[in-house]
Amino acid sequence: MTPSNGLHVETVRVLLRVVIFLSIAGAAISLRLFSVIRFESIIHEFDPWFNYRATKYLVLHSFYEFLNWFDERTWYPLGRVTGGTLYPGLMVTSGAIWHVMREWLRLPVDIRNICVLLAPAFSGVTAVFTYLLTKEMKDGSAGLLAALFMGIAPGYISRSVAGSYDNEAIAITLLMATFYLWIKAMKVGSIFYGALTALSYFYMVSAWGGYVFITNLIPLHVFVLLLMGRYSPRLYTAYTTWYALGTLASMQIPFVGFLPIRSNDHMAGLGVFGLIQLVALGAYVRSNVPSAQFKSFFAVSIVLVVSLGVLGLFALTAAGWIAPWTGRFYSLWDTNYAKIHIPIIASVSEHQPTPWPAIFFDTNMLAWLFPVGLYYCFQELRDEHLFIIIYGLFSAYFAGVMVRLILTLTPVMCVAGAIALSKLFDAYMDITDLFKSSGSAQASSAADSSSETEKKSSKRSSSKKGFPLFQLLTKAIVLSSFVYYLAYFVMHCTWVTSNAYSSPSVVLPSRNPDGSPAIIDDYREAYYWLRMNTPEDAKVMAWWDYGYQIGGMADRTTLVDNNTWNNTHIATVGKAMASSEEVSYEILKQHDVDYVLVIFGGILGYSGDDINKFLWMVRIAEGIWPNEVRERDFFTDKGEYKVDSEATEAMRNSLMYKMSYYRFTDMHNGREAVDRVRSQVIPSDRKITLDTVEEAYTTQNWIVRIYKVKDLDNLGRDLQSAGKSERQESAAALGKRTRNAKKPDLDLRV
Amino acid sequence: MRWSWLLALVALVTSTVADSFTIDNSLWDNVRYYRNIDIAKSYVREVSLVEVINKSDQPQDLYIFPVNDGYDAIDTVSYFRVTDEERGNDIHPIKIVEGVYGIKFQYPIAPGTKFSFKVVYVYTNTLEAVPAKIGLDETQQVLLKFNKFCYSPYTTLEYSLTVSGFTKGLEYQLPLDHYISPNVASLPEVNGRIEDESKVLTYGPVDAEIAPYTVKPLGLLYEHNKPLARVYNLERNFWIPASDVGVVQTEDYYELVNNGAGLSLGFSRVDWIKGRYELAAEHFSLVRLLFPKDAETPYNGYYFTDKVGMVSTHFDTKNDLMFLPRYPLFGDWKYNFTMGWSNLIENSVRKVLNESDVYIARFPLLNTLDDITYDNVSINIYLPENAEFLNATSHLEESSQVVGNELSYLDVSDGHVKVTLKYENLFDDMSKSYVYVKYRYSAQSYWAKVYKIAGFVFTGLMSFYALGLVDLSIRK
Repeated sequence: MTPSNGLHVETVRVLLRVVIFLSIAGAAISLRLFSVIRFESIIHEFDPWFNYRATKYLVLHSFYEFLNWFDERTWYPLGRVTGGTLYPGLMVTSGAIWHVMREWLRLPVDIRNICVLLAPAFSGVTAVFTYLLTKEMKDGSAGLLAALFMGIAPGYISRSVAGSYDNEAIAITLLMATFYLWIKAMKVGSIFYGALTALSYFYMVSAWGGYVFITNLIPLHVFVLLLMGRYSPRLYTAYTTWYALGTLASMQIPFVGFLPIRSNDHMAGLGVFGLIQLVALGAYVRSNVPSAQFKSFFAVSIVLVVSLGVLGLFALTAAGWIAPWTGRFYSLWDTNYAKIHIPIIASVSEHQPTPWPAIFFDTNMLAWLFPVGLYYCFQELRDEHLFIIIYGLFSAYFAGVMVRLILTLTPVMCVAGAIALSKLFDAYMDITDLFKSSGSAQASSAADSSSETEKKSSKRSSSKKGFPLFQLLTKAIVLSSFVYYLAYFVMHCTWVTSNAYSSPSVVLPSRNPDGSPAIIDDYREAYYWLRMNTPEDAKVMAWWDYGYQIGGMADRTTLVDNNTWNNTHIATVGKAMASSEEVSYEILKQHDVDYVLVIFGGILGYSGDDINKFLWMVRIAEGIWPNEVRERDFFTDKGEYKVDSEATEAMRNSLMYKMSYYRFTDMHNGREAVDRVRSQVIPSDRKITLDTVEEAYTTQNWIVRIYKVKDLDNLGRDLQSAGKSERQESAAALGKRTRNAKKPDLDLRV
Repeated sequence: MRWSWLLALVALVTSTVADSFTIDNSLWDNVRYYRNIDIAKSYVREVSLVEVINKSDQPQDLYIFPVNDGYDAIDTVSYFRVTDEERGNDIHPIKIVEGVYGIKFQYPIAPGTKFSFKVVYVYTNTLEAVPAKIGLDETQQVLLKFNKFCYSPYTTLEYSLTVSGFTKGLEYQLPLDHYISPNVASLPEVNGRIEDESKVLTYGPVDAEIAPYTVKPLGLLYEHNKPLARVYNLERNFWIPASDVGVVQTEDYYELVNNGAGLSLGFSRVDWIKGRYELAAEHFSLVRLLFPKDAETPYNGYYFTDKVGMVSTHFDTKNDLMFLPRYPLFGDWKYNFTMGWSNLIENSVRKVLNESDVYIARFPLLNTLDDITYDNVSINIYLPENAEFLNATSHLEESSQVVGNELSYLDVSDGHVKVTLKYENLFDDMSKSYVYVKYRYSAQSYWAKVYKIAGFVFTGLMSFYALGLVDLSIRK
């Protein structure tokens, strides 16, 4: 490249790169807007509703009030120290954007819209950092490919569509930023980049509990480098800077506090920090003493360090200075652990082990490009490639254990896939050497790119003479098939995003009889009813899935919510749902419950309802009261889970069953009715009666049913006998047909 | 209690109005006093035709008219209008205290001369459902409390009362006998009857001398199987654009409640579906709101939201815009929502001919809902930024008028000028009434804003460029 036209080419290149970046950001953002266009600008699912509520609290109060926020409207009667038990990064980010827009740019945007659109906006930034990270691995063109993959890979989109206002929305961006800065710091060995890494890590810690992944991954990278004998002062500078600053910074987050020095999850970082000091000392000693002496010094110190370290760890854990591993951590290694010991964790669908189709669904061709990329990394195996390999292996394992961890696998898949594809394109798209002599081809390729493999391939291909038909054909076939794969990938991503990840789950799409699109809005109908027509201090009991939504939309006090910190409390709710009315009533009264809310899909065929989740309630309750609630009682003798005429005694008497099917058969004029979720026939002869609660509201499609807990009986009877006598009276009255309509006279009686 | 203090209060308050004033019962006689109470809607409209004679030996021009109640059945009077039917002009009433008006004739009436006038007034929030809680399949009955006679400070010679606007009903004795005055014996015997052809309940006419301040509380319990819709807060926002986009953005926020009968049991969806109440022509639940469309308000680009997002249950029919709240409203159930749409600016903003840069904007007081009452209405008119507010007025007297500022998108100086007018106790018919705002907005103030924004953007970009020139690299 000559200087005269080099400037020109560079300008074009920059221009192209900017255009490509803009297109990638455009594609990434617009792909995430399906739900906004199809439905509306609304917060999705469950957890985002809490984040949204917390953000609203933050923008209405000061930052310190936010950190000291005690929320008495959740976990009644315990309350929750919300300010100290959340990762404030997400809320602070949107709060800051809100303030900047409002006060600096004079754009008084509604905080809800900022929350809804935060994830798509950050996905654009993620693409930029992915580009930078991949550029460190290979080159700019691989970086652009990785950025594109990152922008549209469904594995990441699943957590970052508009409205999914969750910690992951910004955490993945910060993950990529931290990794990029780490690689940069490690390569350059500068304190500046180390400090930037720490800063980015701090932001990450403030935003997502998954920061532990970084906390372990970077030390692991350093550890492997040390084992491979790749210690260098650059590595030392980068790591110590990051670790010291990052750990101190992360301890400023109230929820994290002293965890970095107390919990086992964080010990790897500390251990490697110590180790690298010893290695640095060793390197210093080695440069000053003869090698024979150094060997014995080395052996002795290794033994000492390992035994001291292990002993210390055990001693500190035994003494209670270091918290033992948490249950969530164990469930990462043994997928059955949670099911046996912590049913709450297992009851969440995103904590289930990943089925194979899910990986293909979320990553498509990246699933098979990923190993290729890792292979290429092995081929070169520079320090930074090692990072990708470690990151890839670990996240692949974790993604196999828990569905939701596909999220952390996706970025490395994009990077590795882009490396593989870019290598391939480098080799196959270069046709200049086919028509040139060996010497000139070598010269041009050397100038064009520093890549080693390209040189090799050009050498090989340029040795032939004549018109290279077959070579061209091979290249064309390979290239066109990959272009096809790429096009298919784009189609797949769009399709998956549109069909699987763009439903707010608060509103459900449906069709009118004439085929026009309609929405089923039962959740909001019920929540709004609660909000407008119940006393402001009413306590609502529902399964914990709906806690955040009730807090966010109905603005009422809940007993349990999606922050599942108190297993006993959740089990109490489970027991109330799973027990007979007498037992439940006592629990309801003890907890001042005014309304009970159940989700029922039997009319509509909505499968995510409470009867389908019921077994988890039973299991969780059984964990605390094994003598009172037994899972076995809810299965028939054949071991089936039935709600029809074969339903067990315990099932039929449970509050949940009664509230779900109360007056269900009346919809069919007292004939047998089919539950459209479970395809079972609900018998009409066994009339379901409710004595301790009364129906307060049922939504249009019956999805949400709200019951009001009755007060104690006026006559001092227990509510069951009161209800029984009332029923007898009305039956007697019906039998005698004494009810002659006493309507006002037609004429005026003066 | 208020009524027992009436005289004292009247004297006290009017002493500021007129120098020396007491109600002199001997000044006037009501020669004829014909009342009609209309209860077809969710509020009460009363029309009184009164013919009076000046009994004193001086010409008189002030007639005191208390609203016909006498026992605190009417809280607030929403609207009060007096017309001279013969000459066809309005007589302006003076509000002395709540519920007591002075009618100041345009000219004094000579001694011994008769004069007749018509009084129309409306009061809201007095009707209540009896029983207060009923089942889904029952018919709502509403209780009207009224005074069987006329509560006038003057002696009445001929009196009649008609109640119209209902189909079935019966008299209801209120346990309020201690209010009866002057005493039961001296009350003339008046019995109600149904006029066959007109379907109205009629008392009288009687030719008997009815003493001043005669009160006989009476109730009428009638079938009214329609919701008593009430908006307890309405906020209307009109955004007048600065540039020539040609539309006025309107956004209304409603807080709605049904004053009718509540449910005796909880809301049962089964019964609701099986009874087909949602489609019933008459039911006491408030299921839908109908906004009639016309050329002036075609509801272009309309939307409905509430505090949890969009509400999708709305339909654009040929003549109406129909909106269904998320749930049917029974007695005491509340709902709030926001609706917005845009109007052509030609319909509401005109340039004043002989003054430069002066405009007049006209907006209706209420939306065109039928059979509904409003407690508090506040109308916000947002003038363009840098506009100069000149004047605001309306057909009805507002309870307050405030001019402030509101910062909106890209408002780089003080923000939009916000004119707020507040009203109380309105009812559906007042949608024909308007609010007028006069303001000055010159091209200069428009361009001032444009240049200011452009300046900010330029400064921002330049400082970004300048920052780029600073060499921050540390590897040197």
